[in-house]
Amino acid sequence: MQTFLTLLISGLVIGGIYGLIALGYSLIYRASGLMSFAQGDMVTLGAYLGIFYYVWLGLPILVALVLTFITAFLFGMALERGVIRTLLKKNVIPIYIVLATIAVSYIIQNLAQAVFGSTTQWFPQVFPVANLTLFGVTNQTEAYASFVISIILMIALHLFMTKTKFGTAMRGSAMDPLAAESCGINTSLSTGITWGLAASIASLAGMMLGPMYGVFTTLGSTIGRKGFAGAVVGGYGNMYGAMIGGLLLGLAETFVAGYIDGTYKNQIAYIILIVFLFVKPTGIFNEKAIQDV
Amino acid sequence: MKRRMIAILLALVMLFGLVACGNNGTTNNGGTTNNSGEGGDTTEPEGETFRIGTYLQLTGSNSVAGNSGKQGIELAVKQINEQGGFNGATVVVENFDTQGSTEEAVKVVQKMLSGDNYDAIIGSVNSNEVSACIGYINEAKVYNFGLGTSATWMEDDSMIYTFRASCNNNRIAPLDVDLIKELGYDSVAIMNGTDDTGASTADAFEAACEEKGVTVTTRQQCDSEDTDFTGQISQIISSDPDCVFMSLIGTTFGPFVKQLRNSGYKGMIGCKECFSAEYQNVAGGSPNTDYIFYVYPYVAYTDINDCEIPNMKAFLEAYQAEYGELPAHESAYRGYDTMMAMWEASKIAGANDDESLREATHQVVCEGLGGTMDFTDGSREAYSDFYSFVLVGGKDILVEDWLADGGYEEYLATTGRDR
Amino acid sequence: MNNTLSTKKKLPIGIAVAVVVLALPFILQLIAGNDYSVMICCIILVYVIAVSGLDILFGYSGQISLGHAAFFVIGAYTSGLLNNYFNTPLWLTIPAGALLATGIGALLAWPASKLKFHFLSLATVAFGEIVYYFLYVSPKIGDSSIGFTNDYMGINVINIPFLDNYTKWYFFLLFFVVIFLLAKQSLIHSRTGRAFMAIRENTHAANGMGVNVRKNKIIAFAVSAFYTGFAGAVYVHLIRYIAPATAQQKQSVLFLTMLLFGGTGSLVGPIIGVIFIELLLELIRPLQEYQMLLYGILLLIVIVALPGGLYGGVKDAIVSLKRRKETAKLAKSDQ
Repeated sequence: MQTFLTLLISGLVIGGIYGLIALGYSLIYRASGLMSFAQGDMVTLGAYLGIFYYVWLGLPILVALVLTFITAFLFGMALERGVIRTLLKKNVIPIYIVLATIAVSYIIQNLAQAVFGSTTQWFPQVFPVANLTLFGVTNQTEAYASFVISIILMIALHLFMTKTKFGTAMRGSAMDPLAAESCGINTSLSTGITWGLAASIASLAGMMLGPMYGVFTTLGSTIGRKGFAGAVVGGYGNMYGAMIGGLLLGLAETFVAGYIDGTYKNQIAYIILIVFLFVKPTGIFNEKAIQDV
Repeated sequence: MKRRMIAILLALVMLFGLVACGNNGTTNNGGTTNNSGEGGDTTEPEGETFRIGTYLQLTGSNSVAGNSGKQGIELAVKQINEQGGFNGATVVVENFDTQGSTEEAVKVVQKMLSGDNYDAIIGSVNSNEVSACIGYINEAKVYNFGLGTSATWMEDDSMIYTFRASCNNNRIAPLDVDLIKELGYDSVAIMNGTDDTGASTADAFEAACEEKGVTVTTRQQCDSEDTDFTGQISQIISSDPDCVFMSLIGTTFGPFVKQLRNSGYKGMIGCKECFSAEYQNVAGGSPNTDYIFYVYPYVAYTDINDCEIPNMKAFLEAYQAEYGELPAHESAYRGYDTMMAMWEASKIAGANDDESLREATHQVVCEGLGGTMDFTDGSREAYSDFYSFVLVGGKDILVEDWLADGGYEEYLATTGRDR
Repeated sequence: MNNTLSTKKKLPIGIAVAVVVLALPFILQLIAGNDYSVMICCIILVYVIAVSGLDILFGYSGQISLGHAAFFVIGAYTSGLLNNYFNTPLWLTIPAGALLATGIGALLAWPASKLKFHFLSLATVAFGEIVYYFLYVSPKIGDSSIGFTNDYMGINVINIPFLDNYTKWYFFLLFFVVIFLLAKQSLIHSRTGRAFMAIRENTHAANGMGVNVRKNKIIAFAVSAFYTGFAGAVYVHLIRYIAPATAQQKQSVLFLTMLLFGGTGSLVGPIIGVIFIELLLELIRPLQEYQMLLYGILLLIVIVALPGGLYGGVKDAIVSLKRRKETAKLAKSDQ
C-alpha cells in the first residue's frame, strides 16, 4: 500500500511536469494551429535563466521567477515575430515551421553549453524546506510545488482563453485569421502572445526541475518529446486535456517502472502516443478544434 | 539561367575544394601546415611533430566527461612539450567532437585513419564509442589509448594497439563486493544505466556477488536520459537490501541518490566510480551523499588542500593555473595519465613509430595520479591496485581509516540502522 | 529545369556532369592525397538514395515523416546482422533489409495514412523512438561481447572483401544511385506517380477523380521505406557500424533538412541538398564543440531566408529572370 501511494504521488508530480509541457503545445495549437518542437528546450532555457537570475545575479527567488517568466515570454514572442511570422508571411508549407523550431532547439541546447559549459549546474533549492512528507511519502518541495503550479496554470489559462476578451480574440484569430482581422482583432499580436505564454509556462517548469535534477543542456529534450503524448492523450488543443493527459502519462510511466520493469519506462510514452494517434486522435476530451484529423 | 547553373556548380566545387583542402592541411605532417580551421587552439610548431587525434564527446548530455578529458590531455601535452616532447618531436593534439553518437565517432575515426597521418589516437571517455572504433584503429595499426572504464573493449586480445591508462571496472567490481562483505553485508540491490559502462559493470558486479555469496535482491535499470527513478527505487526498497550498488552515468547519479534518500533509505550506497562534486551538488550534498562508498584509483577533489598525494597535488595546481578551476570530472585525470603513459613509452622506445611505441608500452612503469601505472603484466592496462573510499560530510575517507576511527559505529548511530 | 532547357543544350551538360562524377574519386585523391574525401562522397551517395526516398513520400505524395531514420536503421540492422551472424551474402542481405523496411513502412502507413500533417509527423516521431527503444532493449545475439543489438554496443560489421577501398565503394554505390534515380523518375511519370501528386495537391479532389487515396498513400510510404531501408542496408557495410540511436529524431531531421534544403519534388533537389548539407557538416567539424551551434544557426537562417530550398530558389530566380527578359522584349517590341 505504501509502495502504491509512493508511486501514485510521484507519478502525479512528474505527470504535472508533462502536463505543463502539453499545456504549451495545446496553447500554441489552439491559437495558431501550429506545432512547436522547441517546447522542451524552453524548459532548459527556463532552468538556465533561473540560474542566471537566482545564482549568478543573486536576486531573490520571487524576483528571479518573475524575471525568468518575462524573459522567456519575450523570447517566445521574438521567436514568433522573427521566425514563425516571417515564414507564415512567405506562405510556406508548415513543415518549414516545424523544422525552424527544431533548429531553435539545437541553438538553445548548444548556446547554453557555450555560455554555461558542459558541467551540470547546481540549482540551489527554492523553498526554505528541502523536503515535504505527505501521506508518509517524502518528496522534494519543488516537486509538490510544480504540481500545484501546473494545476493553477491550467485553470488560469482555461479561464483566460474562454472568459476574457483577449482570450476570445486569440481563439478567434486561430480559427479564422481573416475574419478575426476584419473584426478588428490584432491577430499578429495575439499569436505572438500565445507563443510567449507557451515559452514562459515551460520556463516555469524548468525553474522547478532545476533544483530537482540539476541543470544540463538536454534537461528538457526528452520531457519535451514525451509531452506530446500527454497533449495527444488529452486531446490536442484542450487545456484540461493537456493536464489530464500529462498526469495519465506520468502515472503510466511510474507504475510501469514500479511494478514491471524500469527498462520499459520510456517506451510507454511513445506507445501511448502512437496508439492514441491511430485509435483516437481526438483524445479523451474529443477535442473538436483539431484540424489535422 | 545557364549562369545560375554554373554558379551552383561552382559553389559545389568550391565547397568540395574547401573540405578537401581543409583535410589536406590538417593531415600534412610538419612544415607549413595550414591550421586555420582548428579554432586556433593549437599553435603551429617548428620542426618535427607527433600528431595525436582525439575523438571525444564535447557536446550534448554527459559532455562534461569529454571536455574534462580533453583538458587533462592538453595540460599534459603542454607539460610534455616544455620538457622536449616525444623524443624531440612536438606533440600536437587535434580534437574531434563525436556529439555522443557512436556513429559519429566511427566517422571521425575513419577520417583520422584515411588521412593516415595521425601518429596516435586517443578516445573516447564513452566506452560504447571506444568499442565501436578500436577495431578500425587496430586494423590500421595505429597506436591507441582508450579513456573509458568499461571492461568490454579490452576483452578482445587481438586489439594489440589499444591500451588503457585508466581503470577497468571489471577489476573493481569484485573489490566492491569484497568491501560489501567486509562491512558484514550479505545482500545488495543493483541499479544500473543501460549504457555500455553501466550495464557491463553491473554484469561484472552481479557475477562477483554470485561467486562470493552475496545475494542480489533486485536489479533495476534506467535510461541514461532518465531523471525520475521512483518506480525503480520503490522496487529496490521493497526488496529490502543491506545496501545498494549504483552503476550509472553522468546526470543520473545526482537525482538517483537524492530520490533514494528521500524514499527513506539511509543505508550505504556503493558507486562504480568516485562520486564527483557535480553529482554531490545535485544530490543535495551532505547528509544525502553521506556513506557512499567506492573503489577507484582516483578521488574527485573539490579543494586542493584536501589532497595529500604530492603528484596529484601538483597536477591539481597546474590544472587550476591553466583553466582557473579544478577538474569538473575525473576523466581529466584519465586523460593526463594517458598522455604521461604514452610519453613514458616514447622515452623507452626512443622512436615514435607505432610498432616501437606499442612494444615499449609493455615496459612502462611510472607514477600516475591514481598510484603506480604498471603495464608489464601484458594486460595493456595501467592500474591493478585500487583504493576504497567512503564519502562522509563531503570528504572522501579511506575505508580502513574510517573503520579504524569508529566511523561505522557512528554511521549506525546517526542513521539508526542495524546494518 | 527540364522544360527550360532544350534537349540540344542538355546533352553537353549531361556529358560534362557524367565525366565529373566518374572522375571525382580520382580527382579528389589527387587533390587531398587521401581517401577521406572519397569516403564523404560515398556517404553522400548513400544519403542521396535515402533522401530521394523521402522525396517520394513528402515531395510527391505530400506525407510528412519525421521518423525516416527508423527505416534506415531497420535496413541497416537487418543486413548487418544477417551478414555478420548468418554469413548471408551481401546480395541477399541488402534486399532483405530494404524489404523488411518496406513491409514495416506499409504496416505503419496502414493506420497512419488517415493522419494529416502535424499528427502524422508526431506518429512518425513516435515510430522512430519505438524502433530505437526496441533495439535498445533487445537481447544479445551470440555470445560475443561485441555484437549485441544493444545501445551499449550497436553492431560492428565485418569487411566486404570485394569492396576494400572507398573508390570501389564509390562506383558500387554510384551504380545503385543511378538505378534508384531512374526508377524514381519512371515511378513519378507513371499512373501511380500522378496519383501521388493528385493526393498532394488536393486529397478530396483526388478522391473525387477516382484515385484510391488510402492505397496510394500506403504505396508511397512503402516505396519510400524501400529506398531509405536500402540506403541503410548499404550504409552499414560502408561505415561498418550502426547503433540504435540513429533511429531517433536527429537523423530523421537531417534527412528532412537535406530534402528541404535541396528542394522537394524534383530529381536534382535531393542530390543538391545532400551534397550541400554533408559538405557543410564536414566544413564546420573543426569547430568542435561549436559546430552544432553554428549548424543550428545556419539551418534557421536558410529556412527563414530560402524556404523553397536551394533548387526552388534558383528556379524562382530563373522564372523571374525570364519574365523580366520577356517584359524587356515586349517593351522593345512596343517601341
